[in-house]
Amino acid sequence: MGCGNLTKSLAAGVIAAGLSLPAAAQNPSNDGNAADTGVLNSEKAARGHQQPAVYSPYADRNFPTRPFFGDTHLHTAFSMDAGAFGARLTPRDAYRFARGEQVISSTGQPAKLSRPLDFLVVADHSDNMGFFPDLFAGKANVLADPTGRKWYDMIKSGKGNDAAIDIIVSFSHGTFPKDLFYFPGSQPYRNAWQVTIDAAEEFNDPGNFTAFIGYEWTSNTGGNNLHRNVIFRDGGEKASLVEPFTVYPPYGSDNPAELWKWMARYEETYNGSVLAIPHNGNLSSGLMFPVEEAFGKKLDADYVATRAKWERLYEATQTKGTGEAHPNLSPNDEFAGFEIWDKGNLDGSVPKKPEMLEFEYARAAYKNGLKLEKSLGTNPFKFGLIGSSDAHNGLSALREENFFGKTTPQEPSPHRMTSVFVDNKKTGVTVMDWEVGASGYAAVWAEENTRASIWDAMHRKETYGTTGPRMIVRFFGGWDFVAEDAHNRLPADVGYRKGVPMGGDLQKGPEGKAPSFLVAALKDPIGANLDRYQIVKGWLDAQGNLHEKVYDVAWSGDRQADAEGKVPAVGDTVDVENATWSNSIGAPELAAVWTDPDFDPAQPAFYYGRVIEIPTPRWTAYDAKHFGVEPLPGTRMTVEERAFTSPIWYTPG
Amino acid sequence: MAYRKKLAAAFLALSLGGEVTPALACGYHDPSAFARGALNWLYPDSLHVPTAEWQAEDAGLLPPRKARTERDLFEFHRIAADMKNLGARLASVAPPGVGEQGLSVVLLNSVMWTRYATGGGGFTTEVHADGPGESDVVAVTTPKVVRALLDGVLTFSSAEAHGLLRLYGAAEGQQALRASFLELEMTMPAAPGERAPDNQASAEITGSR
Repeated sequence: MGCGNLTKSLAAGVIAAGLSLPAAAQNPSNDGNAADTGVLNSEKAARGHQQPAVYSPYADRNFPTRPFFGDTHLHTAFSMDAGAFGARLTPRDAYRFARGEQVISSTGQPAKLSRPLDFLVVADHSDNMGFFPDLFAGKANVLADPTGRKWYDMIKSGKGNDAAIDIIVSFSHGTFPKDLFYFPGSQPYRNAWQVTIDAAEEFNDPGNFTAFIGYEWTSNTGGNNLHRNVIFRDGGEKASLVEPFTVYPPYGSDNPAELWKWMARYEETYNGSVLAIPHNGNLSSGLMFPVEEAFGKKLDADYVATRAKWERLYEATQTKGTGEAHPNLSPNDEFAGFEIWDKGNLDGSVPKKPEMLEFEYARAAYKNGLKLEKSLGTNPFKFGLIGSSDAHNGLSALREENFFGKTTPQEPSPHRMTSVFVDNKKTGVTVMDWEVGASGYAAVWAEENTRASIWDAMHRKETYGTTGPRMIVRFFGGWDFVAEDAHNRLPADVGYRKGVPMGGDLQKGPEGKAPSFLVAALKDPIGANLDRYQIVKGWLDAQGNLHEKVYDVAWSGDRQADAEGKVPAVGDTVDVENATWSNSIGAPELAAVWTDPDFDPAQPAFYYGRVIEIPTPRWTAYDAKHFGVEPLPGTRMTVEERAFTSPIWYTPG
Repeated sequence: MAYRKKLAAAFLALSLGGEVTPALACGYHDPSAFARGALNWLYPDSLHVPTAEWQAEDAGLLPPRKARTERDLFEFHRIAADMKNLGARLASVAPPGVGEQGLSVVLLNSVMWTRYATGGGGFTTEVHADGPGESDVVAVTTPKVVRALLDGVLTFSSAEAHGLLRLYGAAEGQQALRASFLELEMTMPAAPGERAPDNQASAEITGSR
């Protein structure tokens, strides 16, 4: 029965029953009798029982209305390398800083964010987690061991150097006390993991700040980066039932496939939920996005399905370079050469070869993924995009004017932009400290600031990455968007109604129709104006060839696109010497509807949004100004910050 | 150098579960970085000293920094000479100035150790030592601060008060060292802007933008 018929029946029933009506109206034949509720007749009664019109456009809204900004990849003193570099901040300190408190950095500097983050994952390395602080703090498990006690006493009495030497000797001679080994299964390791969990539980504040439980699995064989950050949806009650997966047998493996097995075991055994986020394909010597084989095994249907299941996101920008696109792979993309690290692998032991690049960058992986889906049934590289820091000093501080570096030695100082980060004497691969980027953050479209809501949004890939600023970016795809939709001040309202958000899928559309995309972006309120909003498309043609094209779909000012659709540069207001810029160019917001002019319904494709700011000073410019030091020749001094959305994939029916 | 390498190797070994390979977790394998980082654990807040140095430069407490990073081929020799000079000054008031314990000075950011001790052969200065001696008082500072002390630009108490020099070790040894420097400064012309050595420098260290 339709709604209208129901209300009419109800109205008639009420009238017939004589209930809830003024006495004068109870005569069913007495249409138009007056009462203090007005004249009631059957027509009016019928209208009154219809579904009431909703005045508030926001009532019953059930889609995400704001992005939550956070960092899924922060290290503290609990990571062996961070501690070794001098980091003293603990997970608790990291959460305090992330939620907006001022802290003192490991080099004695007061530090505070411009605005609190919404969420944080302290992702310390799973290998030897927590050893460093325990040793120097004289933890009970250390003191309980006679040798640990001896070392601690030596340290406290000023003989720390002797203790350090003693530690080396015992390690190399195999006499290192077993009780002090920080491997999974050992009590010290369990303690360190529990401290990590407890810190997250303490600072998790649903509705205000989310502290996720997580860790970094650090596969690094041969210096080739295959790292993943593992993030739990669950709280401590489940996370404490397991210990992180490491890379050293028998406690772990350097093969991502084994990590996925660990994740599957966790979910099956404890009914929990985890996901893994890889990063730094640019330092993987071409191993991050394989298309033929992985770890000596030919790619098969199981591999691609398993990878797609567990690796829902990719950290495409961070301090060790941005991995969205590479100018060699995308020569027609004038914005592809952003904060590129392409000299070698993680420690510079393997110099970069051109043939590696295709298997290291996100856009190329998206393209190859279309091909793999065709041959193996699943697209293993159908990941969403985020940014995060990989900072190793407990400070997720990535704004250019507030950049606290990747490691403790890179905290603000006159020397940090002239020092060396990697200097491999054998291969000649050198990366300078100035090449470290002040990037990035993850932006997640979730309904609320809770573990479940943010994790679920990550899982469905409704995310975008930024290189530091907090611009707000919407990206919807569908078949029915029209130009007027871009004028709607509630783009999400029409976006969710007519299409799918970033991370979503489009299947075969109406005959003769091309997909249309509703894009909208708002500048960071304390940041720079926007230059343009682009859509990057990749597709697989009938001959099995892969293609890509970047379209400028919205831009500031009255610039005119050329014959090829490219919009000229927005200009540059940066005063490098004074590290200032002006919002006299660009626009605070951009919105448009764009329909794919080159659509072929038979060709699988992906589309993702990329928003670019006007040029602004880079952290190196702020350092030069603050410290009065000259940068080295070739130092990048300006930056065009950006955001990249998760794609929307089109699959022919 | 040997001490530094050993210390760096120790932490490298520990970080990789005993497998000492060139592949580090995050690509930074300069042994000096490990040696410096370990100092922040062995001598808490020692890495605050370089921060105090640039803040002091900004405040005018120390001479201004150079704008350009230039390779100084004679840097080591110059610093070594300063450390020897410091030793010579300390020798003039020791014993008992340096006290029963020795004094080891570690300079940041190079992590270069210099050890001063009084033994059977008298007062000795060992520049570029392997590390501190057992029970030594340890002073963490920078070459620029040492130079400022030698030039009389800065007093020891002022350096310590502004975090430009941090002492670690037995309290008696630290006091003895302070007394030694006080004695030295009594015999030296007052630093510009300062009077008696127990007066604090009036300059505020802000370091803010």
